[in-house]
Amino acid sequence: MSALTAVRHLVWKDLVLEWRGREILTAMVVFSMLVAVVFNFAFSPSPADAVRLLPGMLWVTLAFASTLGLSRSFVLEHDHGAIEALRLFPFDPSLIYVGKLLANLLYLLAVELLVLPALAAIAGISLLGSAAPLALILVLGSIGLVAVGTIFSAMSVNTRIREVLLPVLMFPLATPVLISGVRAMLGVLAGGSLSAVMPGLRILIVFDVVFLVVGYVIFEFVLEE
Amino acid sequence: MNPLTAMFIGFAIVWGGLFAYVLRLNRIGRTIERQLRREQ
Amino acid sequence: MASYADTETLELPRGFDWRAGLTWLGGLLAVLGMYMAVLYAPTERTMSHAQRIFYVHVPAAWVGFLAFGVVFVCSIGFLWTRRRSFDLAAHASTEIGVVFTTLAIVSGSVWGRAAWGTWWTWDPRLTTTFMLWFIYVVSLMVRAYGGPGSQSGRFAAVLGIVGFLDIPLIHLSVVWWRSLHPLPVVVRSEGFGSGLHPAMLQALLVNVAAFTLLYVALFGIRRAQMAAADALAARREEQRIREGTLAREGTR
Repeated sequence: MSALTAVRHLVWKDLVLEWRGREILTAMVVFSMLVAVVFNFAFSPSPADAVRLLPGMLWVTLAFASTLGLSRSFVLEHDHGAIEALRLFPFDPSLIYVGKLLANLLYLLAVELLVLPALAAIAGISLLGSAAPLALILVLGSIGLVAVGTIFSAMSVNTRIREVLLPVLMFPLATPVLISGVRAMLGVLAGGSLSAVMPGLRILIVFDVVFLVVGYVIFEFVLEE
Repeated sequence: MNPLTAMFIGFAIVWGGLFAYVLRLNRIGRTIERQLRREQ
Repeated sequence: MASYADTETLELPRGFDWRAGLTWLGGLLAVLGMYMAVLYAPTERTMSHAQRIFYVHVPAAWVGFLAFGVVFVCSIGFLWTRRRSFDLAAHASTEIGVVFTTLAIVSGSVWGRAAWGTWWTWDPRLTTTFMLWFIYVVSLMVRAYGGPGSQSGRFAAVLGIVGFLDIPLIHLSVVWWRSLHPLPVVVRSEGFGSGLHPAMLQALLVNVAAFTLLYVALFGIRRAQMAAADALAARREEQRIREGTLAREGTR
């Protein structure tokens, strides 16, 4: 079995498990919608404000939603003793990182697909004009979030305060994603093209590359007993 | 007294206090280590 | 699993107490530095005497970053070699780093109040220092809540490595974000119109040297303290085993 097949199996396992219960996805989507509604009540934005506030609201929502998915994905393994089985995995333990990361990325992207149009509809903003640049920013940012989040969710699952520790660990480190993601979206929504927000895209790409590599290399230290 | 001189004297007192405290901690540490050496 | 082996027989202090020596040296330089900051350096044009806090803020921030660099190196060392001395060094540097970084943030905030009238601005350097502070604090939390000894040490090491690599990215992203709402340029973040007067530079350098020496001294003391605590704990463990409680024998 090649490494690629192994990863495919890992991802498929997680997706199948998730599909059977759909707990994580439901939780993430419902949570995101709730947060969006709360934001709306908190800020009562006018249509003009809404454009300015949307990227920030969206990224905060996604950051928190991602922690839901991330922590759950390891908690299930931990609580059923499956982590031991994973440790017996005959391949490079970093492949587990890749597998978990891909699964979580898919959850996050699925949530974004549902939540973003809904948010835009509620806020009364049309996003169709800038759909492609927005999608690119979302994808790059999501990769960054799960790249960092997967490392820390494996770490925090062992601790007594796991649900709280994951966001606490993750958010300071994910700030470049949040900052650049918001700023880039603001630029695009204000009518700019992708090239206008190039600095941000560059930061996102560098972030993704650096943390995918670092995560891959460092994961075995996190997973070992 | 010139306020700057007063500020400087204030700093010196605070620094001096912290510094004496650090030296004291260091002395305690060395006593513990000496005792450990005796037991080894 | 990290072994206690390399701290059980403690390398114990003989001869010259270099930690005390460094503390003295650092302390003297600190007093000199304070003199130069307060009385020797010329008064700055726009902000007058309030600018002098710069001589505390910059060295403190510098040491905060230096300490994190040490955490980074020791974290890599710990993951690579599993020697507990690296873990202890990383822990000690984290503790001391958080102290200096707190000092840097507070002094930066006070300076901001004097220069711009507000206690906080999202100026890139201050923001990045603030994020560094968060990463330090989270690292200490991981050590406190992370589970049994060597595991939390490993996790803190991972955080130390990931965090260190993240800081430049945080800084870049804040700088880019800031370009949307630039700060009032009346006073640049250094607060100098036309660069540093030589006497100011001298005062700054002396203070930087003083803070750095004090960091090294504190680091040495704290690390040695942790190693001693470790050795004591190992000794107590051994004693308990030797005295032999029934429960222990079976699992030996």
